[in-house]
Amino acid sequence: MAKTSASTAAPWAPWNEAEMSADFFQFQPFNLPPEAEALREEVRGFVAKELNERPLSELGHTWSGSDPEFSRKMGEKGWIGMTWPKKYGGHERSFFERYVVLEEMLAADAPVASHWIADRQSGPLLLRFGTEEQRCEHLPAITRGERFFCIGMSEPNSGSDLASVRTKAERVEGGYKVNGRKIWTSGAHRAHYMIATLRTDSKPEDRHGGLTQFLVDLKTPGIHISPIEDLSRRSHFNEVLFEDVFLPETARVGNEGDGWMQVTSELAFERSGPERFLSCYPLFKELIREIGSDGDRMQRVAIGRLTARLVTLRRMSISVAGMLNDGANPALEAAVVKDQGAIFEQNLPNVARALVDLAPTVEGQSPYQEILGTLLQAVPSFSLRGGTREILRGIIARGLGLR
Amino acid sequence: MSELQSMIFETADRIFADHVTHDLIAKGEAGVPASNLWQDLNFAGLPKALCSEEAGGIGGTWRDVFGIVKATGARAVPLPLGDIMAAHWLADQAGMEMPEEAIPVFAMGKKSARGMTIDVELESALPTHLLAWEGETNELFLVALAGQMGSRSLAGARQLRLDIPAEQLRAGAKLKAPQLTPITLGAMLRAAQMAGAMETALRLSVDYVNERVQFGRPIGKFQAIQQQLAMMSGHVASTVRAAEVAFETIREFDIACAKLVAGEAAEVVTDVAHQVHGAIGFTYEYQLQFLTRRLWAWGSEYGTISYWAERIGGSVLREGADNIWPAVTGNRLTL
Ligand SMILES: Cc1cc2nc3c(=O)[nH]c(=O)nc-3n(C[C@H](O)[C@H](O)[C@H](O)COP(=O)(O)OP(=O)(O)OC[C@H]3O[C@@H](n4cnc5c(N)ncnc54)[C@H](O)[C@@H]3O)c2cc1C
Repeated sequence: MAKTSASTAAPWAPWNEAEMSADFFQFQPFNLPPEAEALREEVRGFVAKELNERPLSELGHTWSGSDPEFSRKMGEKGWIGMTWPKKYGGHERSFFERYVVLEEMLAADAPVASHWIADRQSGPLLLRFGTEEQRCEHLPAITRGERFFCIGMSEPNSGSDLASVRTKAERVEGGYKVNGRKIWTSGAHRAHYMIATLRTDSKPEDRHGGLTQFLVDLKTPGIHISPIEDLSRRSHFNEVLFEDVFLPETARVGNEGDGWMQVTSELAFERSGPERFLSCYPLFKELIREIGSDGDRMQRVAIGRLTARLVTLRRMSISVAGMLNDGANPALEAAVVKDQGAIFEQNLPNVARALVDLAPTVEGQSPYQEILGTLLQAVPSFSLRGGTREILRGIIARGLGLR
Repeated sequence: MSELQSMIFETADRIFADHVTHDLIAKGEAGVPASNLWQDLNFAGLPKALCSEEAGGIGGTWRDVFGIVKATGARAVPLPLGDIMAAHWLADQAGMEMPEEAIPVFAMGKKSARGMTIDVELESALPTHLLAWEGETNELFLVALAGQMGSRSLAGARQLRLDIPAEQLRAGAKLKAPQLTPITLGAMLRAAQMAGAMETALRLSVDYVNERVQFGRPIGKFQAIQQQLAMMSGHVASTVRAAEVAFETIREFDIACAKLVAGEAAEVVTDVAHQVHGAIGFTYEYQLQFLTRRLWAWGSEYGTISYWAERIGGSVLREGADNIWPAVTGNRLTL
């Protein structure tokens, strides 16, 4: 064959290049340290006590199930804002200790949604970009499990193309006047505050530079929150309408025009945790119970495949936690864990149905069928929320050096 | 990486880079031993990297040589360095003398009424002996190779099955309470080699799509290509991490997971890597085939996906629904 046809292929013989590096990712090996493991028993004891005798309808929602009282008790335990500085009510514990608390909560199917967004996203955002006043005002209340946040990014005409948001914050005397509409806002109906990404400069040539983030008190006049039912008729997300809403100068988070940079760093926090592969754990557990201690060959093989993936995802995710603990920026690795995690989680209910001949239910009698019913109806959202599968893979592709 | 790890890795990788070419791999697959490559590796003491210093080794751990075994896959090194290191390691563990000039490879042995059956996939004509590990008795047998032929694997390895009559069998030594079994040791080696081969397949694919121009731009600019490679890269990353964990813990369960994850990933990697390369990747002249053929071959050696999946799944089901999570977090799952 003519060599010329291959001249587009580079390099022809990588075997000869000592510099050839195939290291696209840095999943450094980390193990959970003893002090993190020590916490585990305490968390297990806590959830065992708090979460006995729950109605079947509350199972399988993991981090979208909410219970403010449960959040407050977690706050009392010191399990919200665990890594934050003490002076803001935090506990200066390691990312590993936080990891153990999170994964134990998820494995126990605990209703953590009330404080989840504040703990994972809004708090860290205020820590990095907020004013001292904003931190002192909000972080201690978050850590007590008393102040809940929601994320106002998406709009009816701005989904994946987040930089196109139109909800406008116009400068007025003493602050800003906001008009527009946010949508799909999880938990807005029970949150106290929203971190909203708004347009402060409407020059069309400056899509990214015209965005600014605001801390919005949801009790402010002119804000109307209406629930949206999801396909299963549960209401956890909302439409939030802004009509001439006045925000004081002190509501701005970071500088005008820094919104895009802040929002992308916020999304990186969202992608790295154990919730990216443990949302379906309750189903895995009940599936094993249904199969029983032997199973047939097909069942053993399928459970083996799921287990190997689960264990490997967990190792990768702990590695990401370790890199965060060291102050590194494992954004690419976090995106990979989220993508692989979604593949695993979206596959799990289908595998379960192939193994056990029991129909999913919504008002049923058995935990397995009920959780299967809940999750079958939930998994399509796993590759939408927090950036769709396609957007995520675009980010990974860029990390690989494509585009 | 620790100092020892990077020192021995760089030594090995330098030697691989100096020697391993398309031609050398092709010759290796055709049965020509890579003698010069072997000389350099031997001179650097790498075959005995896992042996104690008293036994003439470097005193490395499996964790220390993970990078090297992975690199033998990444560069399709036509010489089973991992299997050779494993043989020396076993002999050293059992306090068994190895003849000075012997080049032994690790193999699985199984005693029968008539003697013993040894199965091995021999990736080079270089080795002089098999070091067969009998999994039930944990005896080690050194068996001289005499140019036996068998069918060939997709990686060009000779698939040998030797039946040794009982009267010719003499155990060289016995392993005391080994942490592994023969099949898990083999699976651990192949998982690391597969991880390496996948990394190179990904590197080749990324470089290729950034250069190949169609419709007036590099095909890497097309979303359809980007999406496939992004998804594939996640499988590669999972395999590398799982294999690395296996070399860290040397636990049978972790090895089973690593070989299983590698097997699943190999299906995606061979598919996508070939797809984005177009016809050029389907030629012998282009090097992708050295990697994908090995992925197909290694996926079948030392336990397929179903073999490991059934063992893992059986153990998980025996553990029971309420014990799984504590067992996962306590790294207590066994096979
Ligand atoms: C359960 C749930 C909770 C949510 N909670 C919140 C919240 O609390 N706050 C918030 O702000 N938002 C929230 N969202 C919204 C979520 O962030 C958006 O759904 C997501 O960003 C996608 O936007 P979209 O739905 O408008 O879809 P679109 O952007 O219209 O996308 C539709 C399809 O087109 C694909 N697509 C779009 N652009 C491209 C492209 N350039 N290349 C290839 N494919 C493309 C997408 O991947 C997707 O498959 C939530 C969504 C769900 C489902």
